[in-house]
Amino acid sequence: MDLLQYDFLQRALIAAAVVGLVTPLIGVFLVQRRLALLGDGMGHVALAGVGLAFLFGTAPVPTALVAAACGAVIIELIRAKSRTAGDLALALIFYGGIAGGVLFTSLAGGRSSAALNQYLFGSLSTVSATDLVWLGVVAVIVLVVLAVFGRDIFVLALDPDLARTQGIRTTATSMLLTVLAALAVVIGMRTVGLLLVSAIMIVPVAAAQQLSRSFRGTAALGVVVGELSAVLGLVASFQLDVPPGPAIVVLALLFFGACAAVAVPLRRRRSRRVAAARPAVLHEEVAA
Amino acid sequence: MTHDHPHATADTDPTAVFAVSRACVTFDGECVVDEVDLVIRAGEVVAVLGENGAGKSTLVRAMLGLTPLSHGGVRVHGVPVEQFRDWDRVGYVPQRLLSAGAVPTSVHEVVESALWGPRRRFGRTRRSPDVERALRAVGLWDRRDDRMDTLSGGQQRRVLIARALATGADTFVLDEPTAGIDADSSARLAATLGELAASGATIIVVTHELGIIAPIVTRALVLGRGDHGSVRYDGPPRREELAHHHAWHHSEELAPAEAPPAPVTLLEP
Repeated sequence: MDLLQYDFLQRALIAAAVVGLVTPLIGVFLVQRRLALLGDGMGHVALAGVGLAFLFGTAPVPTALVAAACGAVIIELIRAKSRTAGDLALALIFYGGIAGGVLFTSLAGGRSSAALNQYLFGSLSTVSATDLVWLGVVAVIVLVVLAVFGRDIFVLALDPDLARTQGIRTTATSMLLTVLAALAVVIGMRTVGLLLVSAIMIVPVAAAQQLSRSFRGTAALGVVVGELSAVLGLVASFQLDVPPGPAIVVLALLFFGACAAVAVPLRRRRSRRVAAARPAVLHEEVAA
Repeated sequence: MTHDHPHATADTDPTAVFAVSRACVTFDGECVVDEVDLVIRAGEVVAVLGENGAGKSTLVRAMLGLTPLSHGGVRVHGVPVEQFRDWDRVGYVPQRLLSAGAVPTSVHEVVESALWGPRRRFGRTRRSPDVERALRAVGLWDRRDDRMDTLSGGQQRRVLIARALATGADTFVLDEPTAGIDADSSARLAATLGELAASGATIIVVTHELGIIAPIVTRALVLGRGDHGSVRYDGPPRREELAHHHAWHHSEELAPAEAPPAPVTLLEP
């Protein structure tokens, strides 16, 4: 493939492959916990970090990482106190994030405003080798944490009471998931952009759950859809000369549409099969 | 279990699974559970009865450390519930899962996840014989690969019971296990509980009515609001005693607001 002769494109493709692998794995827990929009908010908070980085001349990715992680901890602390206060606090922190991000960037002046666009919608040409190292380190951390604590997060999302009677520390586990979402945002920010990064966490999962019958199946299929969307979307963005974020997300949405279209007849056939195998089961609901 | 607090009488009883002393739970200034003293010993099968709002579920949740006490204390196997760590011994069966269906979850995964937690973080559980045994016990092994949310309410309740069975617990706490489930499921439920009781397990069942579990219950605890604490009756499940404390017996019962109207066809003649 002659696309690979460009160094910047090689780096962008590696970044996209990491995004496609890691973000749906976080997304599946967020959807299960009914926090599908949390990644969106984390993206806004990370934007404030990018603005600060422009203002003080620090490296954007690590600064965004710190901002998003701090935002995650604050949100989780408020949510633990009260659910309604948590909802409102979430909104305030998100607005603060996006307003602060744009404000700091404008104050920084120079070419920062143009650069901001790359962080909002992703960029093909600006993924540096240093960015890739950051990406790799954060991705490995996320995968190791998931391997160790993923089961705890699953039980927590299934039912917090059951989690507690299994000795799982629910507040700490909940915070862990929010921090993981913040890390996933930072992983996706260079390729997909902060405004759309939540989509690459959630849309592949939404596509996968049309077809799967288990959590593991949803996670695995989500990664496949995530990888296909990220890598093919990046190539399409290069060919069509559009920002990668929108290309990747539109592709993921197309996958969702295809999965949903396949799912309807599939589900019908499955329920017919169950009905044929076990006529009593369907009547049970009526009788009960 | 060791008893490191010699001054507390209930704790010195080595057979006490739950020891509740002067427990109060307050919601918005209103006392829901009031001055409950209770010792539940190994092997007892306790039915917790009472009207809606009598504090049945709240008491049981407090015993599991899920609802904080405003006063008093709970010990599980001699350890204050806040510090209790041996949760493998306690199987809790809620009425329903809080989040079933957000992401497709198979029946097998729901049961398997009972084995997960701080104590067993790494072992492989995908082909665990404990999960198979538990699902066979409730008659749902052949539905193991189906999505949890495609099962009927009664079947889902049986999956949650399998979940508690899979851990190898010796104590089971069930919240309204028979409410609104079909006849086939309640018969299986009664059979499973009967086997557990025969094996020496400690069982606590929150229920509106003794119904199908009546034959195995060794002790009835009737809760209600009164001047002398929440406990109205605590003793053997004699029909006449219960009838006295259960003016509401049978059909006057109101279904909880969030649940669909429960058919009151529990198998009592």
